[in-house]
Amino acid sequence: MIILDGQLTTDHWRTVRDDESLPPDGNLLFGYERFVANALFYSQRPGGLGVILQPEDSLEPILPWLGRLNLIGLHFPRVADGRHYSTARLLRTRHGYQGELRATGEVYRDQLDFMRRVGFNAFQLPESEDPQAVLNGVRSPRAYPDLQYDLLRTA
Amino acid sequence: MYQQDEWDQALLRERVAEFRDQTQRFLAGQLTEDAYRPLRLMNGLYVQRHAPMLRVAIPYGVLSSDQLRGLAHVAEHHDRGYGHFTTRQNIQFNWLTLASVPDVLAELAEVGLHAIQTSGNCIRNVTTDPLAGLLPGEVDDPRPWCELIRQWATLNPEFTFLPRKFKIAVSGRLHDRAACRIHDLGLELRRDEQEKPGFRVWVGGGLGREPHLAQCLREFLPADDLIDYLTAVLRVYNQAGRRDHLYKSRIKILVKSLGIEAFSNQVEATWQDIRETRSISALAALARIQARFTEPAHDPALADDRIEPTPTGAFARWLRYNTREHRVPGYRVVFILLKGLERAPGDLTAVEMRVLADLADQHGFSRLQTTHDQNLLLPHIPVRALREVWQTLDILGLANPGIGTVNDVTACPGLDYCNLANAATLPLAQQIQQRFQDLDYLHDLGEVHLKISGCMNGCAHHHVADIGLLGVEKQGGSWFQLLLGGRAGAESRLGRVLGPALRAEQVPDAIETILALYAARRLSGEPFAETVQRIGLKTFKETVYEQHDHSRRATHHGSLAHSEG
Ligand code: SF4
Repeated sequence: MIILDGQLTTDHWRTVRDDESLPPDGNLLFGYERFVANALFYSQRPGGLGVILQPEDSLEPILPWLGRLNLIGLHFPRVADGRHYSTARLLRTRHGYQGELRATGEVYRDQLDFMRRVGFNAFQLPESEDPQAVLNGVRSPRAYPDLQYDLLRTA
Repeated sequence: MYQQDEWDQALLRERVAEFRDQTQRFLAGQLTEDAYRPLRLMNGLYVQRHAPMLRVAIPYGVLSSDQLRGLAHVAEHHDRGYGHFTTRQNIQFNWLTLASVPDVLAELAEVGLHAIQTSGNCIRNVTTDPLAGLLPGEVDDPRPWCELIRQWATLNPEFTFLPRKFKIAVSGRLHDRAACRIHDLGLELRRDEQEKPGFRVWVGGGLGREPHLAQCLREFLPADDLIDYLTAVLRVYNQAGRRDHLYKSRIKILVKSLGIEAFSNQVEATWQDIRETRSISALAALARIQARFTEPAHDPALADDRIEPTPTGAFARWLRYNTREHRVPGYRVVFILLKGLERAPGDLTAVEMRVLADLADQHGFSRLQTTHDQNLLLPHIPVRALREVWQTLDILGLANPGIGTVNDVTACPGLDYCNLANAATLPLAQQIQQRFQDLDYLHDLGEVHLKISGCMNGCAHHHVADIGLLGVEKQGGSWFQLLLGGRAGAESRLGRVLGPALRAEQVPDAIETILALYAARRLSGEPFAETVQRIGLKTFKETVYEQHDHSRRATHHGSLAHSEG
């Protein structure tokens, strides 16, 4: 189940495994190393282009491709690993990334409000989550300290 | 005192509803223990020895009388009739049931209290000098800055899943009574040559397993840059701090491994970046917050008040030791010592909470303040009401004039409540107080800070005590290591280990020996830590262990006292 911009949708992306040959077409989502090694080539093929980053992956090598990338997936191996909250924020602020920013891995409803506010607009949720409950959570307005609105405005 | 905004109430209600839902899902088996843990921690809920423990935030220690009544209500209806004030100016309830916690939080929200970010790997409750803005000569009040940091840190989406907990302290201009150098980040208010406000920034302090005093990260940070700069520090830590090892994940370890210079370079680069792209003016935000701070309306007509008739006896002694001169003539700051033979350090019953709340309403602008050593303050008491306040406190057994003495023991809950404890701290705290009942002797010794932690996590801050006691892992009963000569504040220093650990029963004797040596050898007016420094730890060590060898030979089993707690 994918939530994109506050709506439940089917996923139109295909994840390409590292040992798999390159599919002829479609929206393709690559692992970080495979993407970095072939970025120039992949960027020239038609169709959507996406990459998934683990928390330890550096942003530097993908920065030249931000204009071409349609999807950046940030993977959360554990709920408690919060490095990607900063990655997301940097992508949206300093680097001005405009495409889909998707949270994958251990992503549950209780984190979505934080994720949304650092710039994620897409969430890949486990089967166990109740879609309606999650959607209600994502959509409902919330109160924050004034200062958090300042931070939001700058996002 | 900060007047809460509309969003404060809305935020608290939403968070209570959210936590209720999370707890229900957990109790219904829809959330695993692993998934529920970070959620409950984010709401201050630990699972302890007997029951869940809930830690309620008291932002920078400021409490209204209504809030104290709210705490009394929780203590009475959901706990065993008391609460426990901590060294970080918060309060803990030790006997709740899990299912009742959402109700407790809902009741607390009604008086503007909560448990958000009192545990878990996030930015914790900001602490400050409990005497901020109260004493003569105090210029800059750190509390609006604390409030600013609270607002920045509360539900900050980027920094809620840090490598480890993160504690910030802010101190006022003249004296650091906020212990900046034992916090992950310490901010010391100061002014530059042009009298512009700013901060000296300290980073990487922390007690616990590898105690470190913070290092100076920046000599002067212009106040307007505070938010951007904090974001930079936290961003560097969030990305680079270790997450593979529980004991290596505090910022002090990152600072140590990179070196202060490299760490500072990373922070400066990140800060530069934020300034260029998304800067926020901290002074503009502060102005908004300051507008919501109300000062009590002190009555200038009371300025010449004297206490009539001239105080004598117990009242005079209490005045001398448990009150301080106030910035405003005609008022005094009143300390309430939450120690004694009938209570564990920091404990207060629901009944006492209510009486104190009434006292604050009658005489003290409805305000109270928690301190770092588990006591309370009535910050603004008119001189003319002092006798009545003293009488009421005396009836409650809260007028013991022991503030700052050895008997003002700070102690973590230890083995009685805490899962991590090696030793029983509370019975020892009792035995020590029992031993030193002679007020003349205590007052002659003067300020000697004694702190007891039940394990190396050091919740009682034993490293920065004159006499620190640390519960160590050892077979058969509770054993304590002694540390001497520690100090918080401007001249922070970590206490040094005196020698092999002693059995709990031997500790009061050892302390008696140490104090006697101090009394005999100090120069006039010399504080304890200075004497230790001057005559050397070795002198203390030899005296203590020699005495113990004697008594070991003299008694049969080698244990000195048999006063079990
Ligand atoms: S110092 Fe240790 S025993 Fe005491 S409260 Fe902290 S963790 Fe528990």
